[in-house]
Formats: sequence, structure tokens, C-alpha cells
Amino acid sequence: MNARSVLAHLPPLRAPRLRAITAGIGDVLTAVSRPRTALLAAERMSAVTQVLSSVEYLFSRRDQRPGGLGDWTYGRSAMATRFPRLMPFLDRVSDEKIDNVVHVLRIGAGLSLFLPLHVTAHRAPANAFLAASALVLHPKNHYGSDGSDQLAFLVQTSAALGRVGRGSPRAAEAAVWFLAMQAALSYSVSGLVKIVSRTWRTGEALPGILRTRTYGDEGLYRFLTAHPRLSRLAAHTVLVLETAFPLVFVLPARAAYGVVGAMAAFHLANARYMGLARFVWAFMATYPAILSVVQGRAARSLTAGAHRSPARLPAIVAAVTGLLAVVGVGSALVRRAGIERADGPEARRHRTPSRNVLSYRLRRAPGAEALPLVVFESGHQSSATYWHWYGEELAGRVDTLFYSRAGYGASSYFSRDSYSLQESVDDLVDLVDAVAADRDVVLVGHSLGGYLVTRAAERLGSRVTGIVLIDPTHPGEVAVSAVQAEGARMLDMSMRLVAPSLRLGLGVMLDVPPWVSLYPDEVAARLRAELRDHALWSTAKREWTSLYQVFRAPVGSLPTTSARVDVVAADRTLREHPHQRALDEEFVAAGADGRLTVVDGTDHLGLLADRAVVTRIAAVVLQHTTPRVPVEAEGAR
Amino acid sequence: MGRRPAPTTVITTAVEAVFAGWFVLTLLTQHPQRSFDRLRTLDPVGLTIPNWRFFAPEPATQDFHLMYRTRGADGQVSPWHEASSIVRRRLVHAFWFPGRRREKAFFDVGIDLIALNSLDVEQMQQASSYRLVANYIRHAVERRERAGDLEPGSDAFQFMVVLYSGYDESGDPEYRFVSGLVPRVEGAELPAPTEDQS
Repeated sequence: MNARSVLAHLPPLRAPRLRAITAGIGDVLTAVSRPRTALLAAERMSAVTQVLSSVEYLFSRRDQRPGGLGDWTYGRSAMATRFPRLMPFLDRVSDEKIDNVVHVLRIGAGLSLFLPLHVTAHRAPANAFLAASALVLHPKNHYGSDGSDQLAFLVQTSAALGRVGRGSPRAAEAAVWFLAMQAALSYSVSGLVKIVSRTWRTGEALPGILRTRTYGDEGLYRFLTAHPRLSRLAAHTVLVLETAFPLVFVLPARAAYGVVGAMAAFHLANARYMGLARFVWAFMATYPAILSVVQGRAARSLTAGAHRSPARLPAIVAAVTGLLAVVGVGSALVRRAGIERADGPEARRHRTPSRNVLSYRLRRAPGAEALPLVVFESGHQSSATYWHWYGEELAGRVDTLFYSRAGYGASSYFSRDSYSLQESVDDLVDLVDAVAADRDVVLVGHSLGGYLVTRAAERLGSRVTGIVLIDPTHPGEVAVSAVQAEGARMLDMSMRLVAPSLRLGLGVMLDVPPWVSLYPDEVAARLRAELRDHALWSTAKREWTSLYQVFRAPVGSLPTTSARVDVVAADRTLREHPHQRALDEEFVAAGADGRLTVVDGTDHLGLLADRAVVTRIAAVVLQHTTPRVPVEAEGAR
Repeated sequence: MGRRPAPTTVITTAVEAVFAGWFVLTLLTQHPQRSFDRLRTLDPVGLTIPNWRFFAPEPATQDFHLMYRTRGADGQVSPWHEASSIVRRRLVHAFWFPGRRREKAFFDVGIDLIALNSLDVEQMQQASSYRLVANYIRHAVERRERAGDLEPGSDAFQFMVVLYSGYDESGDPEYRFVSGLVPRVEGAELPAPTEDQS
């Protein structure tokens, strides 16, 4: 049946009927505009989600028993490390009989919210029970839980809190505003985070999701692939509606109803085609709150402010957010200043012809003047700080030169040319010339630094007596490995977002990787500061853009050298990227009589952060400064 | 001389503070780049700080299939069999779909298994997701043996996570996680040397 024939079957819509319908809707809307009424409607719709959910759990008991994906015997181990003290309690409620009772009680509590509206005494306890029991059941139902659970928890908790203070209208109003703002946030976040993604912008995402059996529908998938323009239009409409949803708070009431209605239709479509039934109720439970805010504003404008005082919650939230933004930006500035000072009195500065200023540390060992100088080149997204353990390990044995590439650590990027990795190679060569004059050097590079030193070695010629590459980046790695190519694509996306976010003061929100804590406290603090500073990421992005070009260019042969090239690889890197071994061997073959050493039990950054691993790699480095006495790297294979 | 505020005023102010704090916390944990999720550690249960990044930034565009095969005492290996199941979309799912959670659970656990790829074999075998799925398969094998679908007497099995593009049959399956050989009896030693899985 096509659209035309559907229309033919509908009764003609005459003006009086239309007016009656809109008047009816208007009455309902006016009724829900009172915060208490809005909360009643919200808790009821949300209860549908939770009753449905509990009935579903009771219908799928097998999943919770031994051999199911909700089997607590295994699920508990993840929880036991996080909440050791709660385990006796969680173990008890995970017993099937008690679990059954909790679900039956939840169904009862949910249904009790449908008692006549004047029955109110039980409502706050029922809300609180639905929220608390969701919290208790959640660890057990870890696999398979979804956003509708979070939303239902949010609504019931808000309804409970909105009833405290002996029916104070302020509490109810705050609850309504909270739900309305959360709903608006959820749509706009969902939209904005999609806009970031190329898959969504090009329109590939929608048919991509619908082609899956889990969240898709064959009929709609085939229809959308047959009508690509319509498919793109639908995806873009969702993007715009979601992102712009917070406008409901400022649009004229009728337009706001239109937006809310469109989102309701979106959820109904998701229920039908994606199998997301519980989400319909979960999201619609926030609509009474949204409509209450919209209606309240309309009512206020009609009665010139006499009806209600201005909303307090949005004002408090705006004030707190503003304050946090000031603190965030302020701490970002303090952090930056700290990094620039952090190299200490030992550090020197060198300005290269590219105008960049490199901060470096030259550490001399007694009696090592005749030996080559060991020069360290850091990887992508890292500074000289990362070499801390190498400095400790080699202190007093050989002369070392640690520096940060322009933009990292205390080194500054002032170049006015458009950046390419060649500039970093030139900077390195210039620094070595300035610091080491015509002395022999051994070059050590980690990750991208490994690739850079092989290029610098071409320029430095026979003064380079040895090269040690630690998990080096190979220009061909993206071409040979699909996983690395995917990783590169994701990195490309994230690189663009991190620096601006850190400038906005979000540094404190950034999770710092666990290997940082393998360094001594003072060094770890500095690494944390560097990782939360925008300069590291804008530098990383600049380098990445150039590196991505290298990756996409046809892979030629590596620069050859007369120096011995040793490669040290982490076993986990090789396990994750099996193609890497051949690429590492190619590096070895580009030099003279080197070899590949694989270090067990570590990963890409463990090669720098793990002291015990560094001790082994330092032994490989020292072979190059005393070339006549080959030493076997202990414990390596 | 200040008047003491009424208790209800104190309580409602506290309620407003809770809502404001909760909202700001939610706002600060929605960055498209998950590394900005630091504050989510405040919610180890994963229920109280909502995650509004539905199907974004990169939506899943493939199904997760959990497959397994068994090894008989004679060393014979069975063909791969699917342990997960996905039902065809029907109108009734818009109202009632108790299987939704199980289907999503395969997604969730599949993601956790793929994340184990960088670990050593021993660490991998200790991960709760690995042990959970191993036990899931153990029971699935028993059920099929009881039903007579599978020759009894196998001593070990192996499982894998395969991603496939669903109704779009132009794509190739992606084998994203392959387990080692798992003994049928939990904790039992395997008699024969395991074959190379790479």
C-alpha cells in the first residue's frame, strides 16, 4: 500500500475536527505543565520501561543460570575488585530466588504508580525502590544493559527527589527541569557526537546499522540502499533534530511541540525497525518534563511573570558550568607555564634554522668523551620526559643527549613553514651538529622517533656508528595491516578533537594511561601535565598529518646505512600486529649485522616506562658504544 | 541577626544542588573521545552517569557472532557452530522483545573479548569475560550432546568472535578473536599439545 492509497482511506480532515483535536491536545498540555503533574506522567511512563524490563528478565531466567551470559559466578569477579565490601550483599541478592522476588517487587512498585492520581503516599517510596533495586541488579546484568536502564533510573530518582521537602514546589520544579535538561542533553550529545564521525556525515552509518541483524531490519535496509538520497536525508534529519533539540526551550511553543513530536516518531521507528521497545517509554517519560517547561514559559509570558518565578536549576547549572570553565582554563594556563619551566637548570635551549627552539639536556659521564654520544628521539605524542629511565640507566656510563621535538615538553614550535616530518629531521640534525660537533653518535628512537632517526642517519652519514630502534614506526605499516589502518583512521579523528578540548580547560577530565604510574612520582606528575596540555596534542596532530601522508604514499625501500641497526620490539606489539615483525626485520636489514630483539611481557610504552625492560634495552644500546664486545641482552630472545 | 532557614528550604536547596551536580557530571562525561571519560570512574556500576553517545561516534555496523568447535578424544575437530543467535526483526519487537538483552550481551561480551587480544595467553584466560564465554560454550556443547546433535566425548573446545555485515552479503567475515583450546572440564589439564592458533 503506497502513501497515496493510505491517504485515500483516511476520512477528510475538516477544520472543526482539527480545532477540536488541537484544543484537546492543548488541554492535556496545560495539565502536564504543572511540575507535580509532569512528574506523575514521567514516573508512569518510566515505570512501563522498568516493568517491561523485569518481566523480560523473568522470562529469560536461563541467561542468569550457570552457562548464561548473566551467570554471576563469572560476572562477580569484575565487581569483586571494585567493591570487595559489597560482595556478600551482591552475592546474596544474586541468588535466583531473591532475584525473582526483587523483580516481582519491581513490577508491583511500577504498577502501583498507575493507581489514581490522588493516591500519593506510596509514590516516593516506590520511586526510590525502583531506583535502588536497579542499582543493585545492575552489576549482575552488566552484559546486555542499555541506555534505557540509565534513563529509567534517572527518571525514578528524580521523581523521588522531586517529592522531598513536604511537597515543596521548588523540589518538584527542580526535578522537572533536571529531566527536561537531561533529555535535551541526551539528544544534542547524541547528535553532536555523530557529527564528529565521518561515517555519520556521509550517511553510511544509517544503512550500516540497519544491515545488522541485531539492530537492523532487512526490509528497511534494502529500501534505504535502493534509495540512497532518501537514506542520507533521513540520517541528516536525525542529526539536525538531535543536535538542535535544546532549541525547544526557546522556540515558540508550537514549533517546540513539533520537534518533540518528531523525536517521538523517531523512537517509534527505532522500536519497530531496531527492536528498541524499552527506549520508547524511557525517552517519552522525559517528555512531560520538557512540555512542562515549554508550557510554563508560555504561561509565564501570558501572565507577565506572575505565574512562576524564573527557573532556578538552569541558572545554578549555568553558574557551576561557568565556574568550572574558568577553573579549567586557568589550570590549563598554569600547567603550560609549569611544563615550560620543568626541564630545570640543567636544560639548555637551541634555536634551529627553522626558528624552532629545542630544549635539551646533555649529560656527561666521566671518561666517556672518546665514546659516541647517545642521542634519543622520542615517539609521536611524547617528549624527552619519557626517556627518564634511560637517563638513570646510562648515567655515568656514556654521554647522553635527550631533547623534545618542537612543540613537545619545553621545546617550542615557531616555524613558519608548513610542517612536514622533514623539518623534525632537519631540527635533529642541526641539534646534533650544534651539540656534538663532529663527534660520533649512536641514535636511539622509539616509535615515530625510530623512523625519524633512520632518516636523520642518512644526513649524518658515517658519524652514526649505531642505531637502536625501539618498536619503530614503519612507513609501510598502514598499507600491510587492516587493523593498523583502522587504528590510523580513528587516531586521525581523535587527533582533531583533543587539542581544542584541552584548550577549553577539559584537561582534568582526560584519563591518563596506566603506564604513567610506572615512572617515579615526580616524573609521572610531569607526564600527566604534558598529556593534559594542548601543545602535546596540537603537535601530535601536526606530525600526524605529515605521517599520514607518508603512510599513504607508495612504500619505497628504507634508507640504508653502514651503521649497525638493532631493533627492539615488545612481544605484545607483535602479537597485536603480526605484520610488524617483517617490517622490523626490514629495518635490521637496512643496516649492518644488527638483530631483532623481542622483549617478553611488555608493550609499546612499557619499552620506555618499565624499568626492568629499560635495563635490558640499555644493554643493547651499550653494545653500540663498546662495539668490540658484544653482550647478549639478558632475558630477551 | 539572621533567621534560620526553614528545614524544608535547606532540604530543597540540597535537592537542587544534587540535580545541578548530577547534570554537570553528566555533561562532563559525554566527550566523543572516550579518553575524556575520567569522571566515569565515579560510577563503577555504570548506571548513574548516563552515556548519551548512542550509536556514536562510530556505530556498530556488523553483527557479533560467537562460534565454537570441539575436539574429540581422537583429535578430530568438529566444524564451527554458532553459539549466538539473532532473531529476525518482527513488528512485535516494538512492544515486547525479551531477547533484546541477550542479543546485546553478545555485542558487549564480544567487544570485551576483542579487547583481550593484546594480552598474554595466561592473562587472557583469567579475564572474567573469557571465562564467562568459555563456560557459556561448555554448556552449549553439553546441550547439543544431550540433543544428539554433537558426538559426545570431546575433551576440549575453541571459540571465536566473528563480525559479519548482516543482510549486506557483500562483506567478508572478520575473525576478530580466537581463543585457545579450552578443556571441557573447567580447570582440567589438556592432554595433547595445543595447535598453533595464529
